[in-house]
Amino acid sequence: MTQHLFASPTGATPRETVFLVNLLQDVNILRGLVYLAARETETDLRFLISTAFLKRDAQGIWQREISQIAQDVGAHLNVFGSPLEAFAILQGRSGTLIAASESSLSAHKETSGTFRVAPPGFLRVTLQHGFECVGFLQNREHVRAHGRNITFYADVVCGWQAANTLTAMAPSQRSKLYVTGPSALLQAPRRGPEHPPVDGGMICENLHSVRLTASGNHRAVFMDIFFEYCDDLAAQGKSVTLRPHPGGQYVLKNNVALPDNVTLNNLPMYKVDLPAYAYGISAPSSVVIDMVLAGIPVGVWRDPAGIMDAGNYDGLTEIAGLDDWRAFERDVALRPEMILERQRLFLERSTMVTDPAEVYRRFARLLVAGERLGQGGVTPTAVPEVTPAKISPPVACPDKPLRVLFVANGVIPTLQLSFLKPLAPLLQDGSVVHQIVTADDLIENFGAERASREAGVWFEKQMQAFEPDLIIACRYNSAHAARIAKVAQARDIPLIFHVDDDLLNIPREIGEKKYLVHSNPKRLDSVNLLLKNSDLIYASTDKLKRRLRNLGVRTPITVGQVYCTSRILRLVEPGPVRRIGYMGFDHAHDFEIALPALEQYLEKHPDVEFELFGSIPMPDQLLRFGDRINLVEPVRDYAAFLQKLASRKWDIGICPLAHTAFNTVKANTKWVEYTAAGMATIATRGMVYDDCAADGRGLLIDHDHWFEALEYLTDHPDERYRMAQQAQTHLLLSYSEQQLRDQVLDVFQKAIVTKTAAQQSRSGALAAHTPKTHITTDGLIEWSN
Amino acid sequence: MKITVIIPNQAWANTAGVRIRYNRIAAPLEAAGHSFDLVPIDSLRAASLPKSDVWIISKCHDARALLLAQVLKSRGVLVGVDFFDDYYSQKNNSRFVHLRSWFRSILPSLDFGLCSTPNMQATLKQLAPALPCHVMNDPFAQFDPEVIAGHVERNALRTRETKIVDIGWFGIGDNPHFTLGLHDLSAMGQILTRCRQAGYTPRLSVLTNQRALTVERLELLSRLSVPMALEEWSEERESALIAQSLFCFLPVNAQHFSVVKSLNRAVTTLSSGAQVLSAGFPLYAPLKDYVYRNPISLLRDLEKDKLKMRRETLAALGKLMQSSADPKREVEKAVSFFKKLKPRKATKWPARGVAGVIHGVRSSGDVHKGVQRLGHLSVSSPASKAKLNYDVDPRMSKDGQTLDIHLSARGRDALPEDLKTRTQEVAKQDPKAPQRFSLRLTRKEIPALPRLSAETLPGSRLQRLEFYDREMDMVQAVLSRLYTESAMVRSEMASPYWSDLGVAQ
Repeated sequence: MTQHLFASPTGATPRETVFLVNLLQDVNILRGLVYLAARETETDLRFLISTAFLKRDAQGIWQREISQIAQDVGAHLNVFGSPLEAFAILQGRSGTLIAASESSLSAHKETSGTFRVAPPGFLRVTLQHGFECVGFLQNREHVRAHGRNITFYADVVCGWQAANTLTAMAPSQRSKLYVTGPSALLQAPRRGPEHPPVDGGMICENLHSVRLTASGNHRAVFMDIFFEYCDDLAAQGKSVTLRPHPGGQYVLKNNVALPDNVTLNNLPMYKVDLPAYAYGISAPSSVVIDMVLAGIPVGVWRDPAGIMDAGNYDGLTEIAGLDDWRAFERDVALRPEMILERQRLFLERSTMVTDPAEVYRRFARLLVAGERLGQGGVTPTAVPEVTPAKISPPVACPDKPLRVLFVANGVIPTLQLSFLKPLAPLLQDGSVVHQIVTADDLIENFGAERASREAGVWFEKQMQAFEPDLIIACRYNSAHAARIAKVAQARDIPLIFHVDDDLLNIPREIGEKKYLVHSNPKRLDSVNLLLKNSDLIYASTDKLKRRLRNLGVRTPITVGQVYCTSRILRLVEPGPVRRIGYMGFDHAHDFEIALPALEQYLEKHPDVEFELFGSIPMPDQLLRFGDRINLVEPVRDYAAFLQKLASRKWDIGICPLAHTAFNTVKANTKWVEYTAAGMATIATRGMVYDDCAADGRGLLIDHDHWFEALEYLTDHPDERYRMAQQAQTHLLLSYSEQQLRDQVLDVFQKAIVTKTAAQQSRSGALAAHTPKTHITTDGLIEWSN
Repeated sequence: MKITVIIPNQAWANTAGVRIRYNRIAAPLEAAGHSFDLVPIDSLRAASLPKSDVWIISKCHDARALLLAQVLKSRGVLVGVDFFDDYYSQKNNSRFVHLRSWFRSILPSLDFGLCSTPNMQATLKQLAPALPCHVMNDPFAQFDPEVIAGHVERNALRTRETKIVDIGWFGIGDNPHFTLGLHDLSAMGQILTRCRQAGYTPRLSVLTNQRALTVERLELLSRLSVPMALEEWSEERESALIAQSLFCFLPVNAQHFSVVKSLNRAVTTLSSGAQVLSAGFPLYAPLKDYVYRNPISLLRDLEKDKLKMRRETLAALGKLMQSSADPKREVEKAVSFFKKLKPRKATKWPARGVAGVIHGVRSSGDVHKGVQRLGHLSVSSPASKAKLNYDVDPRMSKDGQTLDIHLSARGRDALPEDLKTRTQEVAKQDPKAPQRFSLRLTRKEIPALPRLSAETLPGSRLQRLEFYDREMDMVQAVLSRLYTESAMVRSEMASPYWSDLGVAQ
């Protein structure tokens, strides 16, 4: 332990929902909950991943899945190798800590250890992670191996069924039970292009399971029957799909040769289109329940001698020898309703919560409760009885273009780089249609009367006429903000307020004129109104979100991982430093930080030129350098601006930033722009560039080291070249337009979801009926009426 | 006077115990014209033992110390043990069999005992009434009233203004045998919540060793009733923590092991500028005028600007420290004590035959090497598990009728001539391996040999434990036959078989 283990002990930290991943199966169990937490809570999301998991996932299949989920929801990722490391990560934080598999068993020591050391501000939740599951519902082999007194360190234990049917739950643990139903029901499969062809039935192998070896060599018996069955099907020209257990992977690990008419499906369960299969066969395993819930006829295989304990599956169709398999396949074709009726009765008897909507509601209550709980010890009884869950409607119909209305002060750079640029392909192919209404239009049409009622009516008509599906107010703080909210409300469409600065606290340093304009009480009123009345605030950085929360903004806020993107406009050029520059608009106070060092530097290096690109006047101190200094006029169009910047061919771009509250919440745009233009970046440490310019992708310095930093890169041209190259590699990998496009579309989706949830909450529709479910693009089960 | 302290190894020289207890007296000793040395036991050689008037064995709980004490005693110098901890009085605790055995074995060789508290002195008085014992208090590193007053006043002002009380806890968080350290903090930490009663928010910072941070102890820390910060201990962090804390919390439980501990944590806290809040056993009673037992009293004093340790009381505290923790004074008292002792006359040891160590169940390679470096025999027993180049390695035949004894050159050279001629050189597989010899004896040649054969050796640990003494007696009988007389000590680093029982020590 060399690191400082402690974060602020008493300072208020934002609450988090932390997902603990240890076994490979955990990803499948937790995935739906992660999306639910992202949608239903305001908490920061975090994955805490054990090194044991990383070892188990030798092929990286599940790590990629986690990465995708984390990217989707903007979750943090941490890896821990010991309880001490987990403690170090969790210390100073609070919220809800969720493990898919946690108990007093040694197999769960990574998760139970983490639960034990978790700070008291965490509500610890574990889940029943299978139909038969230690500590919940055990089979004979479970009891033999682990006994009957399995306990949990969790405060809340989420079960699939009512307490009276969870026969293995120890008396000491029963007060912790919260019946949610299976978390797998939170997600329905999305059949992607990687899905193998669906043909015939699905045979699931869980041959690694102790159940198939504990009371005899059932493994060999199963495989023998399976091969015979395949031969049988082949003779009839039929095929079948084999699915290895996600953790066990027996047939793959043992290189079992499969007949030609067998298709392998090894996708994560949430990517398997189970309902599309004609039937399913498996030895007793949770996948039986998955298939039953998917509504396909299921045969539960038991060894022909009847030794294996399958008591918990009583009532389902049992098959053993080859004749049974054949008969089952025949029944599936002739009398599927008979099998399905058995399954319906089985589920009814089990008391399992099988309605996905209800499962969603129950988990949502729990997570929202976890979000609201204060610091200190927590007991399950603290979970509130009812908290209306927000519900997700379908996203815009794919065959109809999404109509997006942008409202801004003008066609400002933020609008261009945050929306128009990333959405350009969709705007071109017509899948998104947009219109821009600006305050500049008001000035053009009404001049000094732009705030008049007449102007407002005109403004509103412009918005109405477009018939938008979605309105985005981009940094808007001009007149008639209330009319924007009114249009959104009247049309029942989501309103997103996009902010990339603390518009309520524009500092004087940014320029007197700009300060006076933006501090006008009417403009502040507009900002406040939009902050309050939007359905979703789209903030550029996490710190800005925190700032808004500190200012009392309670509207849902989503934060983008990427603010500004760019492709590479000019490759880095090796060689000595010949030209350096600063690009900025109205940020003279920032630039002044580096000015003395710049003077000193230019004196020492008569071969180097300096350029100032933007609206800041050239400081008097630099005028003495004559034609070695150059002022480049600002360019309003963002694409042209970037091209112009690249054409200046600076070797170094500087990013001095004053340590002001305003600057703290800004985005790292300058680094992106300098990097795209092939320049090495020197930036102020401790502000917004610490991540992007880390690891040799820039030079991060304190304010009294500007001269030394410029000197260093001048004296080490190879280092400057390498630094700028590394930065461009990072730009390619992490700041692509595709990433920003996905992010913007995700924000649209979130806004639609939030809006619909609010509508249904208001109308009381939730209590009035049981809605049907459908599948969203990200594979989640959501509501539709 | 030359004083030599024997420590287990060089790394030990950097531990807190050495730093606090010995390094702080080195300078005053030398200033008074004496010389002082810390010597690792594993660096000692029989032929080149340094000259010294007083030898103090410190924390060397193994058979090397037993042999060394004998050797030194035979040379007519003063030998003593600095008893840090009480591992000897818990007669009912089977974990400490080996330590009690060590204590009994070394006692006849000692001229004096040294300890750091009157409580430990009293314990030793009971265990070894005839052993002269001196209390050498752990000295403070420095006592600078101006620095202390600065810390006290700054912390007091900040606490009054912010209403946040910074509290420190520092030290070793665990012990292999006793529940203390972080367990004490957990057991008695509830008292810190009283700060809230007085209108203050407690904020605890903990500095401890990484080994202590197991799941169990981290869980204890996570369930403390006050907000807590955790960092790994270092000397620099400890100084910084104390200097920034209004008070340090020093809970002590009342088990034998803990009640004989020194006052060093309180002395360090006070001399570094923080108040002391004590809980549990009143270990720090000798400093009671500067020690709080209740945080509410402390915070009331804070509000009245009348903290027990403040600028006006530092002079009196300084005097108290001088009487109980001043390095110069402690040196004077210790030297005076040593001067009153009379070393015994030098005698040959062993008078006849050989001396050495019989390795038991849990011995160590370091002991094996150390014994040989001191010029004595390293002897295996049936219980020995380590494969070492023993000087004497007796092996019973399966039928229990013959004994094959493997010998090193040193073991063979010490044999009487009649046996020496019966030895045979063992063919070496590795040409670089040392020369080995073998000697076969029959049962009839060793009348005192207990009934024991390889085949009758039972398997279970409890049965092995029952056989333990018989096995050791067998080795002793063999040695008596081989060398007529032998002065042997047993080497056990843990209670025989105890740690193999699956019970946490």
